[in-house]
Amino acid sequence: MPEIILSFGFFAVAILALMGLSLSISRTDSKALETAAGTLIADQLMGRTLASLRTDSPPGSRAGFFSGEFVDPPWDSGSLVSGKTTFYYELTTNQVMDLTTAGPMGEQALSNRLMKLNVRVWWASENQEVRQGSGRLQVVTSRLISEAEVLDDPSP
Amino acid sequence: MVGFSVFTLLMIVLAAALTRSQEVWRRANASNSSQVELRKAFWALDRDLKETTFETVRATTGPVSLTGFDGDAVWFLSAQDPTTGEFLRTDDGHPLWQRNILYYAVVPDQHRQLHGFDCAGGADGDGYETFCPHKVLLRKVIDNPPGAAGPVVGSSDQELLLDVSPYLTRPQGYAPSTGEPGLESVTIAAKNLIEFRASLEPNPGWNGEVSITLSAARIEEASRLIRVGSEPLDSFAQTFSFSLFPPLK
Repeated sequence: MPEIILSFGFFAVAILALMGLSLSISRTDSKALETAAGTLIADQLMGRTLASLRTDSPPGSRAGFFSGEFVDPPWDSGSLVSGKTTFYYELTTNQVMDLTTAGPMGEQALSNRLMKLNVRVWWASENQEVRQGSGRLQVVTSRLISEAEVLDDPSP
Repeated sequence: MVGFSVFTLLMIVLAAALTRSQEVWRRANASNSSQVELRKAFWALDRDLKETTFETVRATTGPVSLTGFDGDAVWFLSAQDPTTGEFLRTDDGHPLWQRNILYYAVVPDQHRQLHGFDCAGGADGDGYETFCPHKVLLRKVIDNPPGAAGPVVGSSDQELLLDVSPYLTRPQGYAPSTGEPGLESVTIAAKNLIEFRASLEPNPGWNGEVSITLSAARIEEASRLIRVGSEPLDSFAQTFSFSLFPPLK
């Protein structure tokens, strides 16, 4: 009798392990695809922000962008749909500080101010980036943007 | 008797778990295959569009093989030396145009020989075919030197094609087409795509944007559940939406 109970226990553990493994593979696969798509969306948002700063569209956005930090409220936020997944995003900015003067780097008069643009894209739900069993479903990317770069098109 | 019943029950659950696991493995494998094709298409477009300028990029609808447009076609001038692969510039730093590069999606001819059946096809609301998951993204390199009147768009070495319709042909299986004027090479940038859509500056504020949507299906999974080629693939599609910003001029 004990050996029968033991064999039942073994079977039960094997079944649970198999189901757990399948679930894990399924989640990992979804996360890999969504992370790749989320990274492309973050790059797209970065490119679009740069393009709108270069064209100053809407008018005044370039002056606004370099006027100070946008953390809360962010510079921009919203959602984009790619395939069947809704990606939420938030763009924030930080002023780059000059350690020698302890002030912002660059001067408005010289049009050489420097900002750090942060793009955060997440897709677990609108209010959080963590999904149980999948971990953090989020992509964060950032880039330094100089005022001179968006004033003078660097294209050849 | 009780022991036998429990044992039978466990075996049934184990069989169900095995079946489910097999489905998950199949889905993961199919997903991986389609992601590889999406990445190949992305990297090819990303690399080529970095070696052009936005003012030479054009887009139009692609060929019709089944019941709607197979996708879009995008073409542009490239400053990449066809021999060395180097980016060539004029003395004043502008790109020295070398060739036209054309990308378009198409359902290959001889579909039955390739895949064992024919896609019936079905168009979406925009007139694009979205049922066949076997489209290929072709990359053609075309030499189009300007005529005596000089180029409309381009330089003294290479003129942007104004009409690419003679080049939007269906390959025989995966064999590259030949005989088109100035055609130097044809490569398959990606296989097994559902859609390839491109739009230029979809929003006027996003200057110089080439917006692209690519999708591919988990074909192995879909083929067990639906009649592939004759039904919508929405439940099996994987999509990459991205934007590329070539230099403006």
